[in-house]
Amino acid sequence: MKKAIAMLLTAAMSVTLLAGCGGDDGSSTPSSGGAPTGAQDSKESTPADDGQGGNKTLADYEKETNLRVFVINSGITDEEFNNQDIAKLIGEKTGYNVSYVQAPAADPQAKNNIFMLKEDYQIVNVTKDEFYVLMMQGALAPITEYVEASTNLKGAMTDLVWDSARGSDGEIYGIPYCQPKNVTANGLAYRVDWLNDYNAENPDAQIPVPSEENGYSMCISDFQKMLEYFKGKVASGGYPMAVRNTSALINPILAAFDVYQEWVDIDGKLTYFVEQPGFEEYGKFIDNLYDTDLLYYAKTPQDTNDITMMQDGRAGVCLANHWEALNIEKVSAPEGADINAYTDDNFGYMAALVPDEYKGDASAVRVFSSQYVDQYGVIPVHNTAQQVAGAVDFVDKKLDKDLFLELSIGVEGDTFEIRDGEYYPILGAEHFDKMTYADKFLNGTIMEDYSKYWLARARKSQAQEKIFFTINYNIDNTGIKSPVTMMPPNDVYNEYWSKVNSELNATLILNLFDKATTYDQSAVIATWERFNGPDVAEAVNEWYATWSSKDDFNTVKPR
Amino acid sequence: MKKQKSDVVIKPSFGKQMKQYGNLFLFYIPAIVLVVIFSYIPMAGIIMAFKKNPNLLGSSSAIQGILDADWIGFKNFEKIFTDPDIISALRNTLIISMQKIVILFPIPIVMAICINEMRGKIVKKSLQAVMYIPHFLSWITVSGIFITLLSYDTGIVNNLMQFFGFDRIPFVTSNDTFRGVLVVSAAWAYLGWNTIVYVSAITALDRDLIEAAKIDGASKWQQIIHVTLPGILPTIAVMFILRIGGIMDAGYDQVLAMYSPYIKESGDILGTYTFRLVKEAGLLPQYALSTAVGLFNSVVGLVLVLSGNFISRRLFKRGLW
Repeated sequence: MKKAIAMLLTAAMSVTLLAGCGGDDGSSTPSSGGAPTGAQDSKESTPADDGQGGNKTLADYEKETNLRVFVINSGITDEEFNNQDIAKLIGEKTGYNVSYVQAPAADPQAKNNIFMLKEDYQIVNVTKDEFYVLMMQGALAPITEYVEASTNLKGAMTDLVWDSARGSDGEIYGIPYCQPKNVTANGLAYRVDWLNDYNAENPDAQIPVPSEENGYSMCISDFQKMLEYFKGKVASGGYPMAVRNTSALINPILAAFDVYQEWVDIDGKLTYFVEQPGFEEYGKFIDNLYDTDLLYYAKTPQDTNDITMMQDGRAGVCLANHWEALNIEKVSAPEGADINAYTDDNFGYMAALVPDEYKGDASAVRVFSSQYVDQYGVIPVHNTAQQVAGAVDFVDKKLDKDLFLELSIGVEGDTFEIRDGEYYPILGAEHFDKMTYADKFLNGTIMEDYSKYWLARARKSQAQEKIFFTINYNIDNTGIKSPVTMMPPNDVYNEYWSKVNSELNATLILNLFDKATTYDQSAVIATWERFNGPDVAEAVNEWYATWSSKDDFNTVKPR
Repeated sequence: MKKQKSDVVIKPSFGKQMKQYGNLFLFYIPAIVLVVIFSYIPMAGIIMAFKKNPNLLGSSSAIQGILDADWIGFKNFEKIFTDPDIISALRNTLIISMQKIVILFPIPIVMAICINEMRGKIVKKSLQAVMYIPHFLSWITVSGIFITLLSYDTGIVNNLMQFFGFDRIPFVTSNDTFRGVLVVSAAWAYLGWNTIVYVSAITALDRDLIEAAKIDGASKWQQIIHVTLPGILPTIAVMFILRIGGIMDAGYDQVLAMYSPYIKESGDILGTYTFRLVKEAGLLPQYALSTAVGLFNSVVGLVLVLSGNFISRRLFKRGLW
């Protein structure tokens, strides 16, 4: 009897194991049996025209209405994500039955699996770099035909933005998600109260407080003087300035050394930041700050980070992204205070440093401004023509003007209000319950509208509003963008850039944040050359020489 | 003396065994299925080491992508072995592994003997439990604990050193001390668990032998040297051969959790090198190159296991085969 049971169990285990390892039985595939897979077939499998000789619209296509969408991780469960009010609203208004799956936070390779294993997803949100790699590998469905047939989608974005989604065959392979405005994401947070103390103690050697008058900037020597004073103000074990364990590049300080972007046009050629003329001086400046204990660098991810040090008074200056201001300022909020309405006047922000000769000159401020297109919604090539048409139609419907407003910032009087033509969130639980994850549901934007709506998202707390509008003060006259963000896929760039960038970062960290070493520009350049940096620069410039928009792209010129 | 007929053990034929115990062989099936699916079938992917980087994303299937890639012979290996970084990674891998073997391999044996000699049953059991709990913590957690304890600015170890008048030491970010941190943290995480194997082996020893040694007047030390250690020698030999086979794995996740550019010279191992190949060598993961590194690792591991087995058979008359 025991033997019989044992045999039965063993057989059952074996069968289960084999079944578990077996392939997809196809039951989850929405396309019906026998339909040709692969969007290359889409032209054949859809009507050649509308039968009337006129332009086709998406309504003329046969569409799959059950869609699976792969989105970036929001820090909540898939179930919670799918139960968001926004998800329900989208389903209701578009008529599509959509299930969302979030990328695992700790597994960025998950997207590769989708394409390798032909998993059943109709829209996958990817970064710009991922988009180019996937496009070059032939992993994406061309969607030009469907974009042309769309009602809202095609006109929602400029031709320049659509061009960034085209392959060398001229086909569109992704739906761009644009940074709606020319913005800078980070600035320097500093202790205003300590700076005021300095000015009170040194009436004859004042350091102008960053303000509208000086374009929220400070000159290099004043900045160093301020750090030296802060040395006596920080709590035990602290440093005047703290930098987190990510990058050796501090954009608001780089700008003072005439390094305004990672790729900048110098005499008609795009030059990478380490080869820009001011970079060596930047290196020496930071190296000196570190060697004289004015700067703390978190050498491992587990070391105390800069934000924590600002919170507890162990640092007086740090690099801060605009979404981090609330974290910095809320620490001092009294119990029971509305955190989102709270600001701490002891903290201030500056956009960038300027050379000493431009002290107080607001027109001389220059800041790094962010990428133009940073994400794409793509459709894997193994989807059927019906699925591709359904996916594009779904995005098209989301870009209906009224629905897009509701998806972006909610309902007027409920989650936002308009004052002087500007959009403001109505802060409170209602707003956050409904709108916290709203941007994660967007594919493509109505650029003109979103540039206004998006600002409401930057006003989600008064601390965030405070930093955002400080570091973006006069951004249209100070922000410089990297032309490479508009570069189409490039083999050489794709092969070498990631590696050379990573190796450069390691070399810079060793050169800047180690007291045993002195900054050595030749070591940095040697790394750039060893890991094919010049090849990357050559490839980038080959494209740049032929780029028709180069004269219009950056309206702000170097100082 | 001629062996009596009754002493001769005749091994039954396979057919006879099948007839007598055939149903028990069914228990092998899950294990065989697992090994075939997860160990043998993936070996086919080795062909990637001799091909151009395959297009896994845009092909009709990942397998098709591998099959379609062009053959390039040993070019991937040539590319890898002309990279000075891999030579450094190989050296670090061997040094760190050897340090772990030399320092950490004997300690669990000694600890198992000590635990075996303890009298209080409660203390003995509690000690074992406390010792092997760290094994269940991930390396991210363990490295977090060690980095916090050893932090240059705020770690308790450096605070104590400063209190006693010594200079602070950047343990985790210095090439002079990083390998030491790896060995110590590996000891903390694994010693307890490894000790269990030897405690089990000692427990299984014939108590009569120890009693006989006691009656013959053997001291505790003599009992250990002449009874306990020879008794667990087969276990030690097997563990040693397996450990030697894993010499090319110097603790990838442990190193990665503590990695920073500061310790590249002493801490960059083949595992972290391969990680960078896949993650950073380009926007497209370098499957072909990383397969070549993996194959090289496996071949070296196989050679070491076979060598270890050979040496073990010669020295201890014991081995895996």
